[in-house]
Amino acid sequence: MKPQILLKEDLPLLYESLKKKNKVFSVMEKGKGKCVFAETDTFSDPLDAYTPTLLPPKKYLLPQQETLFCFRMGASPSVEENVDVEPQVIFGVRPCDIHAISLLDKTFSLENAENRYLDRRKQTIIVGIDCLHHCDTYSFCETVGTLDVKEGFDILLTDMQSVIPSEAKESHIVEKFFITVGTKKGEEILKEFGKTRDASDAEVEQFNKIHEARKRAFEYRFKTEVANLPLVLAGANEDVTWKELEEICLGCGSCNIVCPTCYCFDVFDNVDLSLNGGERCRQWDACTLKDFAVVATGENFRKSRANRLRHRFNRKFNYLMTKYGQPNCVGCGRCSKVCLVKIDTVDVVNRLIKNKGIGNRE
Amino acid sequence: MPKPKIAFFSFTSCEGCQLIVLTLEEKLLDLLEHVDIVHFREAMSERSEDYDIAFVEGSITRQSEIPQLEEIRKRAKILVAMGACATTGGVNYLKNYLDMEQVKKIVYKERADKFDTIPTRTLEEVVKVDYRIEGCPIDRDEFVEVTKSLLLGRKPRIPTYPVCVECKLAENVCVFDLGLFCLGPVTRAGCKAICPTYGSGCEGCRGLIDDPNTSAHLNVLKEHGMTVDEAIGRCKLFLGKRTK
Repeated sequence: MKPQILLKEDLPLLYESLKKKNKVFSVMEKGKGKCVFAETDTFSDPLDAYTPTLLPPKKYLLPQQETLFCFRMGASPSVEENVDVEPQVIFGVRPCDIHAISLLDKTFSLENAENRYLDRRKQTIIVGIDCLHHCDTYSFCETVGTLDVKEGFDILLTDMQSVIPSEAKESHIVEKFFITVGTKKGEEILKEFGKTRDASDAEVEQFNKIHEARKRAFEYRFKTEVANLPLVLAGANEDVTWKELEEICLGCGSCNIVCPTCYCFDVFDNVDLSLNGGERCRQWDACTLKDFAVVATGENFRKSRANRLRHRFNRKFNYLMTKYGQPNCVGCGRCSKVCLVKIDTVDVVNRLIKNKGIGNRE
Repeated sequence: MPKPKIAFFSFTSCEGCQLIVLTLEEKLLDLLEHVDIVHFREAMSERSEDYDIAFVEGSITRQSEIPQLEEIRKRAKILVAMGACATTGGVNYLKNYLDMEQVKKIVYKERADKFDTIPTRTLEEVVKVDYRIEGCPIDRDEFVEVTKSLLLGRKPRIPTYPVCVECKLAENVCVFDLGLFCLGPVTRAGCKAICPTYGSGCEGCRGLIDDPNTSAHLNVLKEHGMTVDEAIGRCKLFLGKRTK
């Protein structure tokens, strides 16, 4: 489908039309300028929420806690799978979070396909919203290559005004969104909605210009090319940075919890009061927490906070990066932002690069 | 197999944790399918000295409480310390920062000499404790989890991570951003971050996690405008002797 144009005033109508058949989750303010994704009754403008939400939209694909199956013991034991997938729309997802969902798609589909996640993913419509200026000091999307987004969304809205103030001032310009259609499902949504039109050649050109121009607002922040990071991390096990971080890291797990690409979980049985059955549940886990690497004998493979943090950085910029060919970090900056002791992801990586003496970028 | 016999006891405390047990209205009948409650002063008049599991609330603050607790320990196969008073000393520990004679005068005035008091002790400082249910008051779901686990003969699932985890899961705006004091980064979770969720910082009532980075957290408090004395003063409310 050709790119579409949607008048800004019609955005609430698109929201309403999606609500007819789906649960719609959208951004709303929680206080102090911080936003969350929530099921909203009325339209809330995603343009109002610019900085990353407190938790990423991942929570709708991999719930914080979910029941995998119910079981009964006794003479005739039984297991019943718990299925609770319903059509849903995540409305107003930023490019970093779209990339994160694409990474989760890889994680849960390559090698061992995870049907619970994939079933939910199939039932999920992603309405993306482009970023035109740098959201806050912690994010580094351009550095890890997640500012541009080509896939992972059904439709992507780009505000056609905000980066060309000179043109925006002209009163005759109608406020509008440029819509990139990412999937067949996205196309169907727009056809059914029926209030968009094909973008003209001039509008396509304007969109391209906006995209080109906005990059100037985003800087590259690592001191070496991203491709070098696995090498940097692989040689940094004994780096003094980890010893320094051991002193200040609280081991509180916040960086994991707010991360859009972390997917580790714990599985446990919640036995009901019959003591004869219950639910098998899974719940988000976090590799920076003390008990993450404890095994059945009680041995803990990563006792120190620094070892756990080092493991986390390796997951993001070495192990999974080597596997998928891109960092398993989308540069949203949530981890750095929530860290009470100011452990900044970009800063840590740059310290490792510097100590290794391979910094080649300013 | 006969049902295990359960008893509840209280020492120096407000008995609020036992009240929490009584608020488990929708679950109590199911629980009673598996256990007999034989002693529960707050809920029944019958008493018994024959029990398997003792849930003990409160801290030890008088000499006369010591033999009573030792007796309970002797009779019970399993002793569970229930609530902050029992596990950390809780609010009762505040008197340990004062001289005992001074404490008696503050509380009992001219009748001070008629009362006995000793520095507050947690149950563990007097007898062996098998399990702990932290909090002021305890979390009702955690009480059920511990009871179920005892009946099933397995380790209760109690968080070893700090309140920050539950607070982030609740998508709260960090209370430090609201200018409040918070012990969440070093306090054991399990309360579902109830205080930050309702706009108040964590006071540490569930005690410290096993490996708290208290010096780093003290720096966090300082950066948010708190002096060392203020920070320690706030920690004294619940952290007992682990206030440093």
